[in-house]
Amino acid sequence: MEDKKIILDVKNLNTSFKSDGKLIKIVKDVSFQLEKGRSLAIVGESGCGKSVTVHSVTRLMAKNSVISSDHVIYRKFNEDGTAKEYRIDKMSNYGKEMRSLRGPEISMVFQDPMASLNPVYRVGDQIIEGLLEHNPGMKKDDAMKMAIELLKKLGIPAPEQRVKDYPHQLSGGMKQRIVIAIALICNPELIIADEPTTALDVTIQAQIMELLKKIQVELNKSIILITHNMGLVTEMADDVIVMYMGRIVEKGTLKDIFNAPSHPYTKMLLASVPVLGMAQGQKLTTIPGSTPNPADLTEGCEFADRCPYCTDECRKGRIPGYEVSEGHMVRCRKFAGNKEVD
Amino acid sequence: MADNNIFRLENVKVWFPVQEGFFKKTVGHVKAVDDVTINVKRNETLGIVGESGCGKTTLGKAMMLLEKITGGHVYYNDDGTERDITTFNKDEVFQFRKKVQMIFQDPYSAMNPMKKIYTEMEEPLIIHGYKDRAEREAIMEEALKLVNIPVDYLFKYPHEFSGGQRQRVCIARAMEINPKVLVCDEAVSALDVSIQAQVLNLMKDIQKEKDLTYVFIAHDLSVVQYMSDRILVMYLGKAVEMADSKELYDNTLHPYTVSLLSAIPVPVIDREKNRIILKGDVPSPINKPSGCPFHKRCDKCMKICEEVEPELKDVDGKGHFVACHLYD
Repeated sequence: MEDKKIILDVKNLNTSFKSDGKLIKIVKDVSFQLEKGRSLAIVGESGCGKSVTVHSVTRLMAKNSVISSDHVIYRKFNEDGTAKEYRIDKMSNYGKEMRSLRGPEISMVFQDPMASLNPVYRVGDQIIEGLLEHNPGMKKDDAMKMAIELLKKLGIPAPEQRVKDYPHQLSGGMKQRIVIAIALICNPELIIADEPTTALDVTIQAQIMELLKKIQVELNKSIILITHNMGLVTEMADDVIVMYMGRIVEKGTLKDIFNAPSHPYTKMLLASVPVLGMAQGQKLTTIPGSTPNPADLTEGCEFADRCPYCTDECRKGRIPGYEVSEGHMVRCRKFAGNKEVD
Repeated sequence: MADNNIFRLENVKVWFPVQEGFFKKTVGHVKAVDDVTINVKRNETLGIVGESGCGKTTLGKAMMLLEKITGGHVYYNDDGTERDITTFNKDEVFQFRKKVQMIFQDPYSAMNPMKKIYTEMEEPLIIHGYKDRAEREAIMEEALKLVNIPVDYLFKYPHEFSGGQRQRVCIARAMEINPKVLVCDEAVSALDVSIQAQVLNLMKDIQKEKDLTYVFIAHDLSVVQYMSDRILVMYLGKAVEMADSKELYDNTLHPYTVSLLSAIPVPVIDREKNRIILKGDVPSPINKPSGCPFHKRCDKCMKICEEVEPELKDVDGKGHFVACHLYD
């Protein structure tokens, strides 16, 4: 893989939260690279640190968080093929540099459309806010024209009227499209979608996902999709990261993860999802126990207590990542014979 | 046939008035459930699916008399005689509630955070006349064993439980008084996938052990298909299709069900996907479109669909019901 094409490069990202005078590690040694024009899905159960990972990258974290990393690099590609590197890890959370990246370069679609829109402003004004912020001197009318154009592309009927509506006048699917419009209006290169369709019905989810895929393929954008829905992953992602209790347990292409799941957690997670058209009387596999409290974890594999293959080795030290095949990494002692890659 | 039904709904309507102005004049109705005629067989699981706002929860609540039924009849039959629950007096309702219990969507808000599980689980037993404390405790212990929760957890508070454990406590609480029917309203939607599988398997085991009938309401078709013997698909307060769960999947008839099934992302790669994406949103249940409620989003819409409302009919004589003019 040529180094130049990588748009986001994260190395050993750690995020902790201060709670009761203790530091609790939520994200542990997360490293990944995202190529331009590809989509990456981060999957895992609630509380596994998938949202915290991307919020740490965009530095939208609460004050009681401590973020450290070897590096977090964002590359901006120019038309002549040269690239400008931004060291996100060196920027201050709300500094000028970081603010200039958020919007035109990196933007986020948040989970709950009802909570991410301001109820007392018209949706049109909320869409153009970013545009006016990043393009000083732009006229409001021109910005509004661009917003209407974008809403038309997003499949909203009569956008000229809709921009004058308040959020409560729109349905859930419409609101989520407005949130996506806010994220897209500055034409960002990297779109981070944090559970963009969890609050929506399946038919609306299908509309929104189709749209995001189209944007990625046609405009050659990069997408990070955070979800717990395995079905969405197969439709959207090129690469997949599986997280458990703050650590990447498996990483690879979509084919690697779904055709050759290697970590016991990935295998059990895939088997525990009911699939449409499953044979009658077939039983779902369950993962025994429940996710541990992150404050109780000390060393060894986080999954050890729930894993049927757990050995004494699993409870000691840091578990390295092993290579299953090229680009497919798994963090499990079962693969100790393979090459260490992380 | 009739004896086999534990519930029989006839033209059930649940309408909510829309009031306007100072004198609260009724200007229209939200037709949450509109003319639904279905039956629930003994010991089966009837799944109810549909998008949000289609009336599936209201229908479930109407079956429990938690929602006032505007029109139609609900017949309940567990001992050979069929009785209309809409005509029940206070005492009969009390007896009826003993037999039909409900599990709610959110296990976090279904329990009082200030009370121990013991108090929480004792309450239904006191209400239903178990006067002896030792007897109550024995029943509570048995119910907890049924859902694989250690008995000493009785003296814990809800916040000490995980989501899956809480939902299992809710199931135990509903099971204590030996109901015949459990209405599960989105019982697993708030849970993580690995926990969801635990609860679903547990519910299946309990059903076998206790000869229960489930009415399983959910928006996730893959979960419903996993749980149910028969599935009812609702759209805008109407029953649009009802069939055996395998039949519904293999031989989908109603265009709405077809698009609903195709919209579900399946976690299998390299599968040919033939997706029908619905345009627009669900219309308002106050001003429903004339004719078939689905005709504005339907790709097979004909002239008759705009004018005449289709009826739910058994199209193959074997219990595959569909309300669509394509199959007249």
